[in-house]
Amino acid sequence: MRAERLLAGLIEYSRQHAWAVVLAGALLAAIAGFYAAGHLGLSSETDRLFAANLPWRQRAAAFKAEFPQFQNLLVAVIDAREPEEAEVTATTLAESLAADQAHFQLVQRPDGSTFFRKEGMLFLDGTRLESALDHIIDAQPFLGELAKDPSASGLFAALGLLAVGGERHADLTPYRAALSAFHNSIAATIAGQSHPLSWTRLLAGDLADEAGTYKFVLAQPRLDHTQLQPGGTALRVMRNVANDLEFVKSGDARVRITGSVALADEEFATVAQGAVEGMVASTLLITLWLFLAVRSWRLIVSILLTLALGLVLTLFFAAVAVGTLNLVSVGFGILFVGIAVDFAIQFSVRYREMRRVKSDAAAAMAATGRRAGVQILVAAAATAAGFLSFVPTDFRGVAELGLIAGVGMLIAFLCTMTFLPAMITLCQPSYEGAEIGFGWAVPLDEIIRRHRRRLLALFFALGGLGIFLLPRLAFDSNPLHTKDSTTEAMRTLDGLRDSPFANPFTVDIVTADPASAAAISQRLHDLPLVSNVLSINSFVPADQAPKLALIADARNLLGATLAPRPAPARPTPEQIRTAAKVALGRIEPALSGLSEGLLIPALADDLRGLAIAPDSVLLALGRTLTRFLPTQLDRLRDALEAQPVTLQTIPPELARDWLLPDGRARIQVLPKPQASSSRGLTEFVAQVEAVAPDAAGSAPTVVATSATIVA
Amino acid sequence: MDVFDVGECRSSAASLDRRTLLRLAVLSIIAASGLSRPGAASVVTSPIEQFYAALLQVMRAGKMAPFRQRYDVLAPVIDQTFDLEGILKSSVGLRWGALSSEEQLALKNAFRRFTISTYVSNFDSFSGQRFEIQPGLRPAGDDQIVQTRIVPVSGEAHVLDYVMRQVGGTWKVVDVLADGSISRVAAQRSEIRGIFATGGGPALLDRLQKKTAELAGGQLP
Repeated sequence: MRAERLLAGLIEYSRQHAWAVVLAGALLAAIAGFYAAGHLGLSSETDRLFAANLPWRQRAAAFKAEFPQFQNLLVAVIDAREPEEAEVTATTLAESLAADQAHFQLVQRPDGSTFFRKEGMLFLDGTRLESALDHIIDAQPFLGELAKDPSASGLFAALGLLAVGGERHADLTPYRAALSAFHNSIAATIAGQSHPLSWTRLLAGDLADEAGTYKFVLAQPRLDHTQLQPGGTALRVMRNVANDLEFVKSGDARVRITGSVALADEEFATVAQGAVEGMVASTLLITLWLFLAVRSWRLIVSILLTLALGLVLTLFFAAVAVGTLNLVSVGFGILFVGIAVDFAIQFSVRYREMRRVKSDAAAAMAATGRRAGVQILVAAAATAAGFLSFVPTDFRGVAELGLIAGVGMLIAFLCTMTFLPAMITLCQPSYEGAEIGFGWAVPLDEIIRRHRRRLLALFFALGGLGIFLLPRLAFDSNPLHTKDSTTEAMRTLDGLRDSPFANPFTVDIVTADPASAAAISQRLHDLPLVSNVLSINSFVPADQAPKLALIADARNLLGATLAPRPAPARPTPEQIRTAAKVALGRIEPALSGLSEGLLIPALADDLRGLAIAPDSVLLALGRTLTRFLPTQLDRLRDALEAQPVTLQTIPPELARDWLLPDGRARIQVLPKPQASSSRGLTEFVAQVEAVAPDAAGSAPTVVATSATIVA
Repeated sequence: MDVFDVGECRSSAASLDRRTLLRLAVLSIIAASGLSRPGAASVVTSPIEQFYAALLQVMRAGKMAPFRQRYDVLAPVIDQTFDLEGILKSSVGLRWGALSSEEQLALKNAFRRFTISTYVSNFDSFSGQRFEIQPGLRPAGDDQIVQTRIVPVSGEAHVLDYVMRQVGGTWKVVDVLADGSISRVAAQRSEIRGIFATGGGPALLDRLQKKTAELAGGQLP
């Protein structure tokens, strides 16, 4: 038995030179610790979990290089009571962030481009466009009067003339929606609950929410990699700016922050918090275990210091061999402590036993070395082999964990054979007279022996049940499911999953040019699990000629009255009061001939209320009615100026998300809701890849990730 | 077809003696001639000056003169001043293109008779109103807007603006803006859309003919 003699010799050497060994250990720990602190990094990038030479990793990396604007984003998701409030909030947020060059390098408003302001109507289908334009033409009396005088008096003048028209049996039903909105607004203001009137909703009706109720601000923060949460500062800045915005303060708008940077930072916070909690809990539990096993503080201190040395040396190894820990391999510490402590316990328990039998400490140590050395070697070798078997997998996270933990086991073994005997020798645990072990548990041995068949049968049954249940164990490939679902970034994503344009799992394909993008898009669109396919071609509306004719027709009708005019001075409360009285003077004689449903009587009541209302109410009313009016008139003017759209007229800030400088075109494929399960997502990606094998994007990455992990 | 029309300035036939009427007529002609200004504005405003002069003429004639006679006075001036076909097309919208040429022709005739009859019927008496054309034009894209006021002897003046567009080399009215901002054509569009929804071109033709007959009191063939 060479190994036995070798180990016994090692232990004996350590006992004889205990001080030297302990000091050498301390010195080694200091050097290793210093090196590891300077060189061992921790990365929360999930990409680092996988080998860089995998085809799907290479496609993902190429896509990242080609479209860097989609990487490292903080995404502010904005929704509000009225569309204008969301728009103002998004615009102000984007402007403030863009001005903050110190924290943000790029700020984008994908939905705020002037392109959509001008050409937006062309994206409606013909019927909806026609009804939207009819709606706007119906509102011409108000629009015209308000373009002339964008104030409460302008609105009252329009109401008065409308009533006169109604008295002459003109059909007022087209104005019902507008009249109802005015009544609600004025009545609420008189009641002291003023809230800006949404002219977008009033003019566009349901179309106001057509493009989704959410607005997005995409910000690429300057990441500070010296921080554990590189986007943390930018995230805080963004949050502070958002909280200071007018409609966020008033509670009418909500800004939630998500995006890869926020998710990674939150994940990091989750991991860091978990690591601290885990360390405290495992140290407490180990101390308790050690106390039960060895019953001596001198031994416990020896064991804990041995563990600490082993851990520091393993960190050193990780720094040299891997350099950066990932979210999986960071778990090696807990594995190390949990298993290495077992080696030390085995050694110490054996030592206690020998100490009782043998005459002195030196003899006890020698006997312990002879008996425990090989046993612990076998255990350590087996555990190390188990961990090292992970190394060949492409799942780099686990491969690195296996390497670090496996080598860590060997380091733990060496420490147990050298440092631990030296520490025990120096600490001199006292002699114990009694039998080692749990006296009260002796009868259990007899019970187990007597019932051995039944016990074995029970465990066989449990094992069989496990085999039976095995096929029901599914692999959940969704990486978001591993994150803390209570964090803001995650809750925001959850809220957006129903929104087709904010789905976190999409496929990106880079094709040769816009024409092939169109051809492939068509084939992708027909796939059963595909809900939508976007490319640069999606920004060229279909059937433009008839739509442009409709818009030109509306421009012909409205152009003269919508043309910007020098606005008269903002009316004083007295002028608003007078305007209300004048309008009332026109409405009252007309009341008898008007139908109740048009709310003209209700509006007449409102005007009567205004005629006696205090100045503060009249001023508030001015703000309520006209706060969003000038922007809406501008938007309407822009929208009526729609021009034919071709690939060439798409503005560069939009095109660069879809076209590469060399002419290649990106396609984005969005899944249907039923593809949100792991199986659905796999099926979705398989369908898309059958058409376009070179797919990148989040969905193929997730699917390939799970394939790599399971393999 | 009169959501925001100018009829509000119609007064009950005031019993003014002929001498007063004559004096007012002379005054208004002097006023009208004083309005013509040299330069670009006069090219754009002169159709409105002629139109107002003709309106005053039929107002002064009043209900004493037969409807047909007043109609014949106003008709050529309106043909000259208004781009009636353009106004009708704008009022009908893109549905116009879907109508047969016979339907279009019938509608054009009916709309012309209806528009002239509306003016004859609404301006059927004179009680001292003044027609003022504001100096200066308000541009709106390629169009020019002539701003006018109809001022009664007492009470509030009515702002009435005319959107002028160059049609075949001359400036013609393509829309009338009540209170300077409320488009007659847009109001007609809203109303015609409802009529078209129930019965298409024939329903509109029917409505125009019936309204014209009401206005003319059977005095038009």
